[in-house]
Amino acid sequence: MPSASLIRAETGALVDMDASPHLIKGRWYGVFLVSLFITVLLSIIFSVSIGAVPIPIHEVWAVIVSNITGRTSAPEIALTTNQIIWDFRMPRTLLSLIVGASLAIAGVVMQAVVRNPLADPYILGTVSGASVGAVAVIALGFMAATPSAVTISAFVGAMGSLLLVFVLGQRRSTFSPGRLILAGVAISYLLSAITSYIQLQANPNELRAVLYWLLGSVAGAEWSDLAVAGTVVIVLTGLLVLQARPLNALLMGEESAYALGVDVNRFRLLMLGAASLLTASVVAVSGGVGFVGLMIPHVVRMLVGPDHRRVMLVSVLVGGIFLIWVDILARIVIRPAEMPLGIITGVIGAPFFIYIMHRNERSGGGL
Amino acid sequence: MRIQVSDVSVAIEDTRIVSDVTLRVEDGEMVGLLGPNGCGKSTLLRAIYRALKPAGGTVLIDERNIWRDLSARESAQRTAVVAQERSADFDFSVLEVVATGRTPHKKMFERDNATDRQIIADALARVGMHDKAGRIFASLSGGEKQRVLVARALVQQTRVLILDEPTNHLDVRYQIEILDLVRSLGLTTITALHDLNHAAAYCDQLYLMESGSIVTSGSPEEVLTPQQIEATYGVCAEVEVRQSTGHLHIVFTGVAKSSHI
Repeated sequence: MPSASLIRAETGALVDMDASPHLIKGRWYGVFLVSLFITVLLSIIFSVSIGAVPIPIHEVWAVIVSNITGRTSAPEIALTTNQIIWDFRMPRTLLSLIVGASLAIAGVVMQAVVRNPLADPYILGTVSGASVGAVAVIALGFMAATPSAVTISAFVGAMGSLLLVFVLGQRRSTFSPGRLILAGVAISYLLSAITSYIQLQANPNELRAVLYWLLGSVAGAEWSDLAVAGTVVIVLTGLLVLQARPLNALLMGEESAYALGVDVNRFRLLMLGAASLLTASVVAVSGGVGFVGLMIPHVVRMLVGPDHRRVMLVSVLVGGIFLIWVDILARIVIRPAEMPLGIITGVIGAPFFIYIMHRNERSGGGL
Repeated sequence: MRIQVSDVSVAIEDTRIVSDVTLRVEDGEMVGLLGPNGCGKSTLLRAIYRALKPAGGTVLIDERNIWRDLSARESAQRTAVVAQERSADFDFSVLEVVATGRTPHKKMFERDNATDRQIIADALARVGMHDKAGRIFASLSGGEKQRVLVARALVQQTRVLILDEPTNHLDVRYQIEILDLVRSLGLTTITALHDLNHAAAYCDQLYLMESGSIVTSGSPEEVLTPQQIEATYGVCAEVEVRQSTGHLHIVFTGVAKSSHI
């Protein structure tokens, strides 16, 4: 039905409602969405089968099915295989999915709210605060350095720095994006100074653990990590995805947002708060994985355009897929050792950043 | 719908930009807001479309106080705005820009239905941009951008339209096109304007502002006298009624000698 997208206007003119300058348009959007969902599932299965002990895909499938349906274990599968898949690889794969999805959507929101294509989820100092918290536990023996102590301390650090940024960035209870970013930069510098100082005091073993944390990793993820982070992430992501229309209005400009009935100050504060809380939750469990929140929103906008009704959902899927594959790479490049995620995202991210920069110069985007 | 602005004062960071402004726009009337750069036109308009809360006074749209009785969303269901917008860094298409006009009418994740799509198509056709629905907004000419923003305002389906210097940076043909279009809509309209001849030709009533206050108001004939133009803008002008159009025609003859500018 080729004419489905054509509407006859009251003037008699025909208007093509599928007309679009974006790469993926009209009915292709639905196809694209379905293929992303399928890619997520395939990526999960592939990620679970990869590792020190390679496990054939059909066994992976059998273990997943048996665990989800509640049967203890498929009879033909060894108990250790079941354990490797369900207790170790599945949580880490799902965590990388959650971390990628969250950072991508937090990046989308930050870029729209401050109307700057170079914004990322960390601009308000969350990752620097989390680093101080994590490093304090790992290197200072502040608490027993169990993974959950690191997570809790990192989250407290992230929330602390966030609070500081909002207190310093406000002026007569209004929050301008420019001031918040400046406050975020200042606080980040201060906190990284503290992190560096603590690192100097650390012994080589601690230093290695610190470095791994700072560059991000999903190794050692457990179902209990997933339960807490997953719930927060699902609730906040849901909340953010629902804000697609006001985000569109805000991305077009502050006056547009007012004109379209967005309570700009309140909305901006709510969005920055929710996106930062989301960021803090994932950074606390995975460390500071860089570039995902900056890159994925741009990739997605290049594919489907800037309309948030598409960008939000697609970013969740693309961000998740991307980080699953980054984690797969992290496990194979220097096998049997593991690479921190941040090194891989950085290697992919830096050239991409430069590409965005040049692209904007060409279109006179004014960066 | 009627706009009633009473004793409105607006301050930004303790600096008073607008002082005790009272003005009124009757249903279906087009009112022009004139005055030199920096006199407070945009600030006053922002108080009327609920972007900047006045320090004092009231703004009523059809007897409802927009700051007390209406939410931002409810205000946007009554008042549409064509503001001065910087070009965006993000590549929205014309269709996407126009579609955002439905924002105040839609629930959080409600999709555009057949009615919305018809409204959007009608608005695009009305401003003559239906052939360019798939173009990137930022790549359009100034005149086309303004027409798209007018289409977005139409999609809001309001009875009140506010424009902030809609002819800015446009070639003369686009200036006339956009003002003809706005006039043809028959909405209750208030617009800030630079060009006094446009104001005389298109507006029913004019308000002249100077340093945040209204200095005079009335029909174009009452407001645009040579004496008033000299006092407010510091230029000498001759004013005559054109036989062909019946509109006032203003010719500037030089900077006034006693000018304070």
